[in-house]
Amino acid sequence: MEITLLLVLFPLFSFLLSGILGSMFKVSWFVRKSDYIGVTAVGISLLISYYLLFKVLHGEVIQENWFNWVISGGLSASFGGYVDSLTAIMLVVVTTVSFFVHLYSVGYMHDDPGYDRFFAYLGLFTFSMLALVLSPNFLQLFFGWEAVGLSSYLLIGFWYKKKSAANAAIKAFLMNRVGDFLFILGVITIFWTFGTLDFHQVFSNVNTVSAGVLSLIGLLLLGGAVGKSAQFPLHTWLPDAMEGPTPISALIHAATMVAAGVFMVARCAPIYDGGYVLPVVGVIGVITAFGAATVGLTQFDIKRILAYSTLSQLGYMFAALGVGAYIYAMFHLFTHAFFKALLFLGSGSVIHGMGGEQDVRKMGGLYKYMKVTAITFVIATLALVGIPPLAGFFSKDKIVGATFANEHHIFWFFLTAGAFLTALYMGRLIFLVFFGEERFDEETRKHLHESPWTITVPLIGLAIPSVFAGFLEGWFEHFLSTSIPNHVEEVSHGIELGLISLTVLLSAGGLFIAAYIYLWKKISPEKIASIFGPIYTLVYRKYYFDEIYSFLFIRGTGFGLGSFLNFVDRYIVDGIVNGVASLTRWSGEILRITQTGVVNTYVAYLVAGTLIVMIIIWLT
Amino acid sequence: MSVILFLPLLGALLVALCRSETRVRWIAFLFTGVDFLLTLYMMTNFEPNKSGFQFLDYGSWVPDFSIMYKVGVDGLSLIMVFMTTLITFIAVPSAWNYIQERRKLFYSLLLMLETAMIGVFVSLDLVLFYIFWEAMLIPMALIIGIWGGERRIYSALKFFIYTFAGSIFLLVGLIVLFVAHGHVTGNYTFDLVEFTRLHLPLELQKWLFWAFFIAFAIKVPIWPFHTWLPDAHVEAPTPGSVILAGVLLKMGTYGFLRFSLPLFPDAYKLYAPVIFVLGVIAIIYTALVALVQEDVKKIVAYSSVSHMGFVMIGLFSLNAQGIEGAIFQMLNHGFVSAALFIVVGIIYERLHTRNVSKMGGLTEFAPKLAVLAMVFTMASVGLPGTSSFIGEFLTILGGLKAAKWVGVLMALGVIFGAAYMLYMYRNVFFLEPKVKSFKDIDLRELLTLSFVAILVVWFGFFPEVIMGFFHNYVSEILKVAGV
Repeated sequence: MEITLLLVLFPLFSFLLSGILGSMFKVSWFVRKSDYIGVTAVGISLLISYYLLFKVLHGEVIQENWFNWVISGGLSASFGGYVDSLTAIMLVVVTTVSFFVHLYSVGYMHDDPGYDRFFAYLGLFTFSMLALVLSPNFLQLFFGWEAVGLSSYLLIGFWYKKKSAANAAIKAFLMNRVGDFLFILGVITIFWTFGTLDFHQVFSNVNTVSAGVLSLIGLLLLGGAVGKSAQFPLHTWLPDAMEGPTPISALIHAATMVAAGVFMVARCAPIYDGGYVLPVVGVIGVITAFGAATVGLTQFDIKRILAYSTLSQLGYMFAALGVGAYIYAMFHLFTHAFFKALLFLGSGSVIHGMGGEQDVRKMGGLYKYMKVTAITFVIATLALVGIPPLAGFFSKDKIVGATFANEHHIFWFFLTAGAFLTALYMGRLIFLVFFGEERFDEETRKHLHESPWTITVPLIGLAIPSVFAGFLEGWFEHFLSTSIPNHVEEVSHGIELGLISLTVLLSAGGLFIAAYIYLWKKISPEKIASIFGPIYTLVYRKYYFDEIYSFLFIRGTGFGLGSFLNFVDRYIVDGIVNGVASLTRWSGEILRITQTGVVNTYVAYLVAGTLIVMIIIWLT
Repeated sequence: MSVILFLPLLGALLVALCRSETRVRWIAFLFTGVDFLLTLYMMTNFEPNKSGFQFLDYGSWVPDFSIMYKVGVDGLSLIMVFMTTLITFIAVPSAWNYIQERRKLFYSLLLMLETAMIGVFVSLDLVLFYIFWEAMLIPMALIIGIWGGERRIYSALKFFIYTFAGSIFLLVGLIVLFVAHGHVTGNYTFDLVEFTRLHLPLELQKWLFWAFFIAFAIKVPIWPFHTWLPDAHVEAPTPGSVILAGVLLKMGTYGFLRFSLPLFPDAYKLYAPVIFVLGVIAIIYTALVALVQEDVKKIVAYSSVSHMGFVMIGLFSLNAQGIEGAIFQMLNHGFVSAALFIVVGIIYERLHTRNVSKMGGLTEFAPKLAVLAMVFTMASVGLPGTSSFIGEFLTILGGLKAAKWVGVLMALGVIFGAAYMLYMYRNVFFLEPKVKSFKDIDLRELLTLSFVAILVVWFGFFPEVIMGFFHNYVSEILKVAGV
């Protein structure tokens, strides 16, 4: 059997066993052992991924065909596995994070009645995500794209009894569908343009197609990426997705699935290089990077702050794509996956210890109670903020530098400002949660404890790459250059050093200001909020996107227009049908008057008829 | 072929003669099951690459009017017969406890209906076709009228009169066709194969196209001829809905493909834009209407109209992908809508309500039903990996080739399609339970639904199992149409 197929089948089996035998039929062994099944399956996939990485490192490109899928007319698409360096990196990221999340969930979800269902969904997600990154063609890419969407929907709505969770799940699915609507049109346009959906054949023929068509394809595909990676203006589903269990927020809504948009654009680099769409990608990225960072400053839910941070960091990746720095985008994706997953898992550990509390205003001083969580969380924070020599420093700095080098100075300005904001909101977060005074009650304090080893081991496991992954930068760039381009102009060392110093200074400054406000309490945050007044409200309300969308699309187009059409359907369209029926009956009633049953009347009709006919003949 | 066609009728006779009211279920089960197996046997012996009809049976019937008994299958009919026998086979267990009264009558009608439905798909003589076409109406109307809900008489009458009124146009069209063909060739016949060799003048094609159109459009149903459908579904008993959505709706689309396209190809091409407009309206309009329904059965009924819009556009896109997608979507919609009606029926049997606002949280009590319902919900939404995706994707692909705006609006419809299904699933299976208890599905229900679910996923990954049967048919019909 093909090795890439084997790679995806293990998580699929985990899904089927835990899902069907466990949560559907409640076979007790599968209910209890769903964690073993899940961890083992993903563990095997992890090993296969590293094996594949090893093979690709030796210059191999693996291309395997599993089976034919759709054959119709000139269309022929199959399922298969395509592993070049880009895929290999993604496989390693996905299986590594997924493995740690599986392990973490053993402890974290242990008392949940849906334990088996949870592992089933995790298996489904891992399967889908692997199928996505392995795609050799656009149709399988779309399959994976939608299948991860399904897993995301199921996991956001995991606590299905909660109305907010069920609604957040629908919101995520539908907003992704808006993106996917464009995506599938892009796929179809590719087919009618190139006559094939195979990556290799499409990419090697981009020269034969006009830049206009490539731009159209690029825009349509970008729609899908914007939906999946929660970029402006389709970003509002991601903060709501935090309704799902925390391990899911780490795996799906931070490290892997939401990065699929970045992966896809990088994969389609030949299309984007041939068209005029890249500036659009960049603008979307910059708006999201900066806008989400501002919102992150004002939120109080620990997971929502991290969610806005994810939006913002994905924005950085899109900005990098937008200036043609595909490899830098991927490198940030790579490092971000580790430290953001770590941040989420850490927040889960905090929430676990706090007995379900997510409001940062009710935390504080937790360092004393949960040292491992706190230290790993701070490491991840410093990595995200970009303090050298942690991972985020290398990757974010490359992006900011690339925007400057490629002379997108406005991008550069906002990304640099965004770096400062990142430091500010992350500093605010750690000072509010782990340091300063304790703002929780006695009851909570009694239960406060460090989490068990199944939780702390993944934290430590993810902290290692968060610290060291940055050093792989040179190797990473070289390795990925075999699959995707990286268009970055050279700048002098002096400028480069200046830029780096500036961002590092701003980041450190951001942390310092955060400490000044939240740790040393020199200025009260309320006072700052009141200075900004309406602007603060605007940001705190997340720029009113939810309200506007709800008004326009849910109440307006959806239920508003729906009710109107329902009225039309019942009283006009069906009204006409029933009207015709009544008319028939009514004319029947009238005609019935003529059917008297009296012979004399009929004779009279006969005579009258004959007369009329005779008159007509006579006249003509 | 004739065996498959008339076996259910024999079953109907046996059911009518049987004394026991409970044993008739097993007889019906046996006959529909054997008929399905025979169809599978026929499929294994079918030669997909041969052109023309196979398994032909014919004989003289009313020689004075040159009416023949002639039946046979090509790739299209074969798949339709497969769908019919399969769905009738599923309808029997779905009626098992739902139909409590006058079982004997019910199962004889069901089996008679099966013969009539298969007859429509395999008749190669137009009079024979018309007889089956009309014969189908009576048992269906009776099933709605006798075992239906409160407004069953209204719905049954509406269904009957509406579709019957359409059929009159079909009859007139058939006679005109007969005369026209005889006039030109001197050979008066009702043989379908002979007709396809005729090239009618465009003016006549236009008239006949619209005559056939009315009959078929009501059956599909195409917007705005669809309003009988929600009424019929809401009142029909579960097995009635299963057959109605599963098989009867495909009669219209089958008719377009079997008659309108080969007989009036020029008119067909000429009026394709009209169909595109109606199809797009059907997809988007009915999806929005479905969104605000409170009655679960109405939601599924409106979803049928929406999904049939994809089929119609695919059929008129006149390219291989569009037509293959449409045929596949016909089959797929048969499965998915039948299964959804079974799910709805199961819920109604237990809660005696179809109002979504009175449900909620059923996952808590019925995990098995919840899982299966999720599979069918996702299939209805058109998720890749289910058979619906293949149908939707190919019809959109074909639609976009035919006209860009059509493809774009079809794809847009997919968003709305997801909306109403997800809200329905949320209201029924998620949220806090509003009922105190709910019995999960039993073995019979489990087997029925799992069977369909497996097919939906299997055909979703391996559509070639089905599409292999009609690739050749589609390339030939495109040649006939002169594309």
